[in-house]
Amino acid sequence: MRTLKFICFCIALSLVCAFIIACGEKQDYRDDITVESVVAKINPTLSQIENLDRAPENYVKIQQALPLDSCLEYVEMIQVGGVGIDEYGIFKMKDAESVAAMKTAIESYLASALMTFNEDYAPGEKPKLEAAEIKIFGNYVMYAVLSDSEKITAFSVLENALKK
Amino acid sequence: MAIVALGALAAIIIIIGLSSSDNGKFSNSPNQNPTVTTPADTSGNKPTETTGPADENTSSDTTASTDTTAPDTTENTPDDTTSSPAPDNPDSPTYANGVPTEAELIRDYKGTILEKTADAGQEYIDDIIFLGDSTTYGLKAYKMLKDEDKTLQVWTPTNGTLSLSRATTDRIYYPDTKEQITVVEAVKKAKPSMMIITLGVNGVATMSEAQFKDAYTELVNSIKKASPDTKIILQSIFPTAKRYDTTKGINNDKINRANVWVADVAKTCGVKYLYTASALLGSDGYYMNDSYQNGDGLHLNEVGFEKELNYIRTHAYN
Repeated sequence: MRTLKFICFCIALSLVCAFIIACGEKQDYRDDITVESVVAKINPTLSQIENLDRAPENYVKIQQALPLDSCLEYVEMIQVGGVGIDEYGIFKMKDAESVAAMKTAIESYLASALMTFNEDYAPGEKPKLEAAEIKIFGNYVMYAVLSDSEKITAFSVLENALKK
Repeated sequence: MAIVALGALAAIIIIIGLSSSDNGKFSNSPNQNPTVTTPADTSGNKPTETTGPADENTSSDTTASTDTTAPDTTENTPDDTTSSPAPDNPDSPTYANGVPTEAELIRDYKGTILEKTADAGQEYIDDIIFLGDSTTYGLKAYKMLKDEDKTLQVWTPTNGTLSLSRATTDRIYYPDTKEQITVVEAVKKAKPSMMIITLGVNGVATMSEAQFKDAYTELVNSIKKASPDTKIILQSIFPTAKRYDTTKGINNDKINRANVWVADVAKTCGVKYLYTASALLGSDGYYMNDSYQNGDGLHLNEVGFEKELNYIRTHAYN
């Protein structure tokens, strides 16, 4: 009887472990989605943000110091007028190493922006910068300085587009 | 029986092994769960990081921090020469305490710096478009120009400041038509006979020499291209007063260094440089005269703007 109980226990334990393994499985992401196609879906969800425009390459490469050399495609949208600080960027990187480099560079940019932020020129906007997020989906890196709801929507558009 | 038990045990060990190799830290694996990073705290040094399902921000990992470009915010006194930052470009001139005198700049930037002239009068001022950040916006706020607070001579964004790093990207409020347009679009419309540009005070906190000069050069060249006949003057960044809170990374060492960069850009682009900062210094030759600032130690008051405008008309671009 004791042996039977032990067997049942082991089987149950194995099942639980198998369940844990299944839950912990990594999500694979597609690598063939263009950033442009994702941005075309995200921008309509941000239509209430005025003056959202594409950041020129020179700004992204030199002023933000983001490593575009190993970036296959990117789009960055920034608010170029008014008092808002909304912005987001999606970068399709070459490989895992360049993903890590882009993430680090964006972190540095956001930290610098937060340190020099002056609320006098953008009243009420600081929480967006404090809550800015970077997410990685396979070889895609996305950052967003948006309101919480806009951020959730924007990230989910990218993730849903990339899910296999 | 023993085999079954061993099998289960092995499975457990394997599972534990697998789990411990994927414990939520950022890795370079290209196909990983989304990594969520919240940027640094206000000290600008330690971003926190959580990994896992997209909407879960339950744990933080401060060991996953990155270096930032957070600048040294220490303000040096006029007597403290030990930490005066040297120019990034070894070819740039250096000056005692980092603060050049007008005579030294005339020596080093002959033909670029505007030297003392006879008073060009109010008509000279009335013909200038002032483009810049919040230190320029004050000209409108203090009603220092023709048509006072309805002046058409001040070009800044609606938030009152234009950052150098985004000077060609951000939109300014174009008072003639009340539109928000880029500087280049405004220049194409207005074709100003003369522009005084004052930018960079916010940028000195974090911008490198290369970033600073690249942004300024791009702006100047785009204005020249849009309106070749416009006389362009790059004005020095104003010094801060002793009372200024330097925790945002702006201090006079950095401003003095950047003012040499501005002169370099003016020289390279073939435009003029106006060293108004020299007229705003107090008796110590380092801080802004306290009677010229509006209370925050950074922006000019009416007296300070009078001083600026007087300097402009007595260092005229003929």
